[in-house]
Amino acid sequence: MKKALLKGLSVAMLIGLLIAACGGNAPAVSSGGDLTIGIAVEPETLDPGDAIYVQEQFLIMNLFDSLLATAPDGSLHAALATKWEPNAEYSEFTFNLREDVTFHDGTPFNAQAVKASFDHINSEAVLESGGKSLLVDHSYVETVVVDDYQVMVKFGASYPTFLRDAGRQWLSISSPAALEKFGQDYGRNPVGTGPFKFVQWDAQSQIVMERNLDYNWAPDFAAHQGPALVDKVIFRILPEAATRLTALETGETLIASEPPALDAISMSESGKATVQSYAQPGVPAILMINAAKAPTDNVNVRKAMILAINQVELAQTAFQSLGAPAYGVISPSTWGYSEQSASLYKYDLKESGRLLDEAGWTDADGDGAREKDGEKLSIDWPDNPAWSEAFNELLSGYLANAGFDVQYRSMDDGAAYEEMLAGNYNLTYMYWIRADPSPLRYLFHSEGINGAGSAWTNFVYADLDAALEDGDTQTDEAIRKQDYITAQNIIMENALVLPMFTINTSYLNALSVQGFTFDIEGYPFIYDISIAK
Amino acid sequence: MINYLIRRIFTSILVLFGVSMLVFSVIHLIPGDVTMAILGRQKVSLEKVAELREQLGLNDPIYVQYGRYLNKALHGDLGVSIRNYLPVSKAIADQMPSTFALAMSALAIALSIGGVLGLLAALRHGTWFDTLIMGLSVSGLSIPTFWMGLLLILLFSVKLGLFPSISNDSSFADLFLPALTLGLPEAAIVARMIRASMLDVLSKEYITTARAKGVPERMVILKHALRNALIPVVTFAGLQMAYLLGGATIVETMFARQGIGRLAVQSILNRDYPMVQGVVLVTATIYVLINTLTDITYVFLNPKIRLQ
Amino acid sequence: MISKSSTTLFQSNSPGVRTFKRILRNRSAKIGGVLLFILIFVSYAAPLFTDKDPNKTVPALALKSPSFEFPMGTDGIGRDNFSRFLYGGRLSLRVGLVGIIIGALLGTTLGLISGYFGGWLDALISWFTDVLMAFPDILLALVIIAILGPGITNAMLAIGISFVPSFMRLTRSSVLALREMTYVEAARSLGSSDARILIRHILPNSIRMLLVLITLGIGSSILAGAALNFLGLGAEPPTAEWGAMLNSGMKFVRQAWWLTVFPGAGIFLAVLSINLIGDAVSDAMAGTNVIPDKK
Repeated sequence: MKKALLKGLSVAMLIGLLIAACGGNAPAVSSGGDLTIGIAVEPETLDPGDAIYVQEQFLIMNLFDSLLATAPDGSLHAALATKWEPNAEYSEFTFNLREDVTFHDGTPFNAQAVKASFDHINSEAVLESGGKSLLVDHSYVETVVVDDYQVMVKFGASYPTFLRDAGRQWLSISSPAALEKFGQDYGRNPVGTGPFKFVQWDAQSQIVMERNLDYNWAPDFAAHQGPALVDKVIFRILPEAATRLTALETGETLIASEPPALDAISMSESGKATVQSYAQPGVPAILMINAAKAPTDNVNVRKAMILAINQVELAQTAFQSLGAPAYGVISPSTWGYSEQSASLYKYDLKESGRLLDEAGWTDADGDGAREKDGEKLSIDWPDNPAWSEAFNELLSGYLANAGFDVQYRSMDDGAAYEEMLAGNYNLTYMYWIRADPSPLRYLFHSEGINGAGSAWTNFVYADLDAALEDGDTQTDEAIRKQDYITAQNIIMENALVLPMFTINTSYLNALSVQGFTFDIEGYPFIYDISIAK
Repeated sequence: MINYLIRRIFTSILVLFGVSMLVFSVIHLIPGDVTMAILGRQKVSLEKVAELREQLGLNDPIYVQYGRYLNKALHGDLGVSIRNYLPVSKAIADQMPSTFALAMSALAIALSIGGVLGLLAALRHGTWFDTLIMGLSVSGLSIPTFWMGLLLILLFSVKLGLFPSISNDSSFADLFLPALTLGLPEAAIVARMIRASMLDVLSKEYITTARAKGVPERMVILKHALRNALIPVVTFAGLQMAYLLGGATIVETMFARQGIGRLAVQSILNRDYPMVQGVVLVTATIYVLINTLTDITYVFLNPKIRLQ
Repeated sequence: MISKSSTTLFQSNSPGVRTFKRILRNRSAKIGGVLLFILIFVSYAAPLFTDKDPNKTVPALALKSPSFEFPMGTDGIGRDNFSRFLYGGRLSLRVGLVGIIIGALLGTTLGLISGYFGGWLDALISWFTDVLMAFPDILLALVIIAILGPGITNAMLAIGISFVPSFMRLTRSSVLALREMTYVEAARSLGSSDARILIRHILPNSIRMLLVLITLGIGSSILAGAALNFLGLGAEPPTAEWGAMLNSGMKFVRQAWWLTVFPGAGIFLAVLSINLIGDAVSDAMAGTNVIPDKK
């Protein structure tokens, strides 16, 4: 489930693209009412320190606050901390804390709580989580309680992006009393300082939160201050997209996450609902091509695959106007994007066929699939259909048109991961939401081959490794940018990935839902939402 | 009689023993190493795999492992989910009331609709009405549950807005569509059964005698015929209750209801093996228990079998 | 759905000598037979009716409503729904048939062995089938899929295994009745081997009842197969299959009714036709040569 982890690492360091209109600063009035939201995936835990899946953050952000908060424009704001100060090496960070905050269980928020939360993430109790990877990867040392309302967080190495990360849900602050009290069951009994309190979790059914009336510490970029505007938030777990949509249509839910694009558009065009969409920066939806397994060990075969895909049509068919085609290994809104690398391949079935002919793959028996020496041009694609349902058949169709025989094998994440460790794949699906191109190192540096990282292309090339290493440590921005442009060009010239479309987060909401905005990571900011009567 | 009881209970225990063995072996029959499935979420190191194998007791002889599993299961410990680390027994207990409510309402629908229609068909044997009911009933047996559920949602939720399309609690409104989806095909079976058994009873000598004696037709039907015709239905209801408890999978999935059928499918898709084992073991145990009870009740009710 | 068959089966407690003419005379059997023939014919002779590849995607033609060119419209990625319906029917019917055949082969073999040899072998096999019967409805198939993993072959196997108990019990009880018959005794005294007696003498005499069970079982088997596919545990995309088509069509239920109505109707009609025939078959058997019911 490494893949899921990667999908979760969405540090939005720069400004994400905001399509939906921002709420503005008009004084909002508490409308009350229950906000029911249809979500696709049931969380495994609501303990921010133990969470790993992208979907969990959407819930956690309502129950918890972090030390800092990142505004939609990317600027850092005070949250539970009022002042923050890194040392010169960016390895020690001092935070002054708010003194008027209480947890939902009535215990006061203080320096001890920060220490307890971070130590909890770093402890044996948490096996693997988003928060843990943030701390451990940067050699977390300890959190020192300076006094009741001042802490110092120490790392063994410099961690220039820690202030950004301190604003993420994964590093939210939990009640030490609750951590102690619930122990292993804390993930089902979360206690934070956020605008909503946890009420109940009915497995496979719903998670209910109610408004925290004492809440008076919203970040200053929010549209209002004080308690949240709706009385209750009910997250209804509806794994089937068709069910989420029906429930919205019948008014049983007011917001549906990840609606089928066609319905979303047609409902918004007919004025029954509004579509909210957020284009994520980072690695778009791509298929990583295994360069170590036949037939994709041949660069011409890989190029022929990319040329066989009509990205414009694919994005349009699968996502309507909610999807944009992707041509490179990072999307245009990402820092350091290389225009050149994205202009190498344009849909050209003829050229694709020519490359395959040249590589010796021809359709001698006229069945539509190409062969060479009696072997079919077979492409093995083990995958969890939950991730690729919207496009897997479409993509197989394009490849089939070019003479590939695509063998899609559906399985769950664990089984797919085993297949990948064993090298039994030609294609694997990947995306990585992040405004900085640095994840490229995890995906393409040869140190990450065979499961050590996620270098599923199995491509070893010294220049690529060097560029990615330098990009990780380089402080000169211009040189760093050049490193990533070099890396993107090498990746695309060698046809290591098959780009498809940029990742969009979409929500469909009823017309009565007011004040819908996205936070920096593309989650609806429920705190500012109200329901019109 | 006592002999029969002892024998019946003994076979049930043997069957449950077999069920537990089959369920236990699931984790050993899956391809690949179960530790990999468990560690799926984590970075894998070889030491960790070895450590986990030791921890799970996978290095012990298989009969030791089975003994340990059985012992724990008998004490209500079905292990811990490898997805969210919750105790399996608690997860099942949480889902059970919802499935139970659904099964009961579906059974109520099946018995009432099927019973009335079957009875009327038998009384109007050979008429167009009988043909219609039998036609409906064979259609009811043939319709895929998921298709009918979809049509019901489109009609009652989307078009008419009468009932919720997603269902949660055990209120009438929430149960109506799921119970109907699950209950209608069962009603088809009940209608056929009642009709057949009514026709059978009505041809019996004592009915003819009663009629000859001048007992009013209403009384003949209600007092003599119906009572005897209902005996097989009572047995059927018991078996069907047990079956519905495990058979709500698709309906629970369609209506996003809580329930153990949905839990079974979800844990198979998630490869949450301890959960799969627990759900299957509990469902099968309930099924066997209800079956045994039904058999025993049947023998008590039916002296003819008792004598054999 | 599997249990639907078993309930129907235990109702029809009197399979016996086949009176084929009676079946043919039955009106519902005629309707069922014609319907089934049409479904089988159009799906197996699919190339006669359509020249379109069921997996060929033409995104520009996505979600077209039924027309002369696309009699059942197109799906979300522009595949011809009519071709998918025909080829999907082929697979759905095959899953039903192969499932029941696997169940019949395994179950009958076990039943023959169990009934003929008796003793501890009988006890063991009976116990084994009792254990299998402890899993209600689709649960046994789900457990088998949990072990084998999803996929169309595994789905057929899972359905087959869940039919084993019915066939085993039926064969066993008929073997018990036949075992003591004089012609079997005679064959035994003439020195025929056990295998020969089982295959030459006992099996042919049980075959009629088996045919009834198979006829009735195909319907449930098709339903079970469609259900597994609907739950995403069967055919791999892009393979067309009615249950799987219905599941993916649900996404477009508002824009494209043809994506859920046709495959749903396909399953319904196939199962209906078999049930109509099955009813006639068991009606025809009624009252003749009643075998002792084990229950």
